[in-house]
Amino acid sequence: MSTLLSVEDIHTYYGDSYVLQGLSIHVDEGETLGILGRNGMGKTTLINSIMGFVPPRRGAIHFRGEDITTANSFDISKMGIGLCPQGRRVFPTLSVRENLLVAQQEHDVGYRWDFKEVYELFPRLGERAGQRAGSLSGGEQQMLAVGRALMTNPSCLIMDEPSEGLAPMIIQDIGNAIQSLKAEGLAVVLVEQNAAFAVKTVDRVCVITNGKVVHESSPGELWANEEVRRNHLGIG
Amino acid sequence: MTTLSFTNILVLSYNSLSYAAILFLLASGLSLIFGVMRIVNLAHAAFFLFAGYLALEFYNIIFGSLSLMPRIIQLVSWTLLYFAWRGLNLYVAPRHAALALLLTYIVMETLCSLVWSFRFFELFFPHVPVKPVDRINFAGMITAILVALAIAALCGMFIERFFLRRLGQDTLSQVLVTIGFAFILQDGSLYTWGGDNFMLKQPWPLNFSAVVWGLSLPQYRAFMIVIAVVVAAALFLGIERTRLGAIMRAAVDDPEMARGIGINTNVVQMAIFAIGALLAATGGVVGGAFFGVYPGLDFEILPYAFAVVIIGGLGSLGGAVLGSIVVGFIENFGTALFPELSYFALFAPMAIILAIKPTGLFGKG
Repeated sequence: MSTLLSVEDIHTYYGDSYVLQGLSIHVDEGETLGILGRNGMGKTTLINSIMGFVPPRRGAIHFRGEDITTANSFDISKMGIGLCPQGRRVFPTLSVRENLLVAQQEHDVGYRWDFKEVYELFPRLGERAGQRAGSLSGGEQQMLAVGRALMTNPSCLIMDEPSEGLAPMIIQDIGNAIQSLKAEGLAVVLVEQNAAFAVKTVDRVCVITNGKVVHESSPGELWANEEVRRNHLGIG
Repeated sequence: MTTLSFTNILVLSYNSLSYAAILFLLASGLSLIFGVMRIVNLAHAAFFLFAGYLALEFYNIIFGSLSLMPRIIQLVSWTLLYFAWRGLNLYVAPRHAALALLLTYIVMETLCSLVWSFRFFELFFPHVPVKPVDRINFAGMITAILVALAIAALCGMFIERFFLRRLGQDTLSQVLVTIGFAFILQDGSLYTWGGDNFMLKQPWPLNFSAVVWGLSLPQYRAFMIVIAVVVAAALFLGIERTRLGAIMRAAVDDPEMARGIGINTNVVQMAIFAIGALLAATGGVVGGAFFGVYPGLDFEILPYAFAVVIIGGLGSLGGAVLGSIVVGFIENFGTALFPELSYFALFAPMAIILAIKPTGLFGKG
């Protein structure tokens, strides 16, 4: 399998604070990569660097062989990286339908994801199409954030803490949705603090501590490795 | 204090509404630019005045005065100068090219004054007296207005793209740059069109008054109201019902996230600034046949536009409608009832609203 997204030794700063200190990951086509780590270890910064929100000062990011290290976020999105961000960040004053509409690109006509397909994946969104996104429940907003990312017809979907603050039932729904996307061959990067949820879903995991990858393995191996679990994830 | 008869009140209300219409056209753009982009655009009323002058200019061009030829000569001269500069730079250093052009200029200026008795620099800055046009028709007027509006919108895009975008959210720089452009447009207009007070001609049949119940009501005022209602409806539908409007609102809600799903927020901002300039310009050409077009009109009307958005609430279309009507009525009735206090009558309520509800009546905060 060929590499879809590769992050090569990036160093990212927020002002003076040195967050990512030489971090490298890669995602293959059709693969689901889990990124685990405790709070404040740089998981979301990694996503912000990939999306061009906070470009790295050193290092390189390639997507489908093209250098996107300093590209504009909107160009990165158009190249095929879909973002479902931490905290969901749906557009609160827009309706559910409008949230999906603004993410639709013009060249997308006839592609895999359109309103109909998103509503099939998440029937709740179809029922609430006219409602303001700000008035949805947390779980519905999460579905909307996933649906909005899918509307850009990505070849790589980045999900940052999709289980955050949701009831177990809803987490189950989101997990099922990820499984069905994975079955279609969509590459998924799943950033999670909820390790139990992530290891059920992904093909491979990277553990990040202090801005570096400290462990990389299959989910089964990670679960068996008590040292990594205790030192880097804080679960015994 | 004077007392008003019922007839007076009717006529004043009609006048207030038509005044509110112009204020709405001006203030909705101001409110849009501030509400969406957080830019305090002090050059906004300059677009209003500039568009009035541009419409006047194109009236004159279309309805056959002498002003087209000098403009063409000016354009050709600047183009030639540009290519001369580029050409010279291919062969010599920029310093020498500049020197060569300067020497050429001195020689040409001397030759022209002594031999042909005209000023060489007037090729680049022709002084053309603008005369108000008498004959006018609807088709020509519409053409002139559309050209004026397009140029004003392009100016807005230019200022946004090359100046305001570089400043980010630094309010002080924004204020300085926009007030700088206000002066540039103002003095540029003064230089080009002179200090006279012009009136854009009202086309037939708007230049008559309708007589209703013995009241004489100028039809042009009704036309202003109609235009404002049409623009308000178009703005509302455009912002609330189209994909482009949804993209604009998304870019306001969360600009970074909007970029993250493929929205080019730079283009969105430029479009919003162009629409704002276009609205001011529409007010300028419609109002130019009502207030007239004269130097200083821009800074005269800008406080009213600010009063509208402060009373109505920044960034709210409904607020701009309400604010314009409130200001229109206070201004007209205030002037009629206590002429010496009309400014007080207008700005006192504004100060009170600022104190009680700083976001305005409809403001989102």
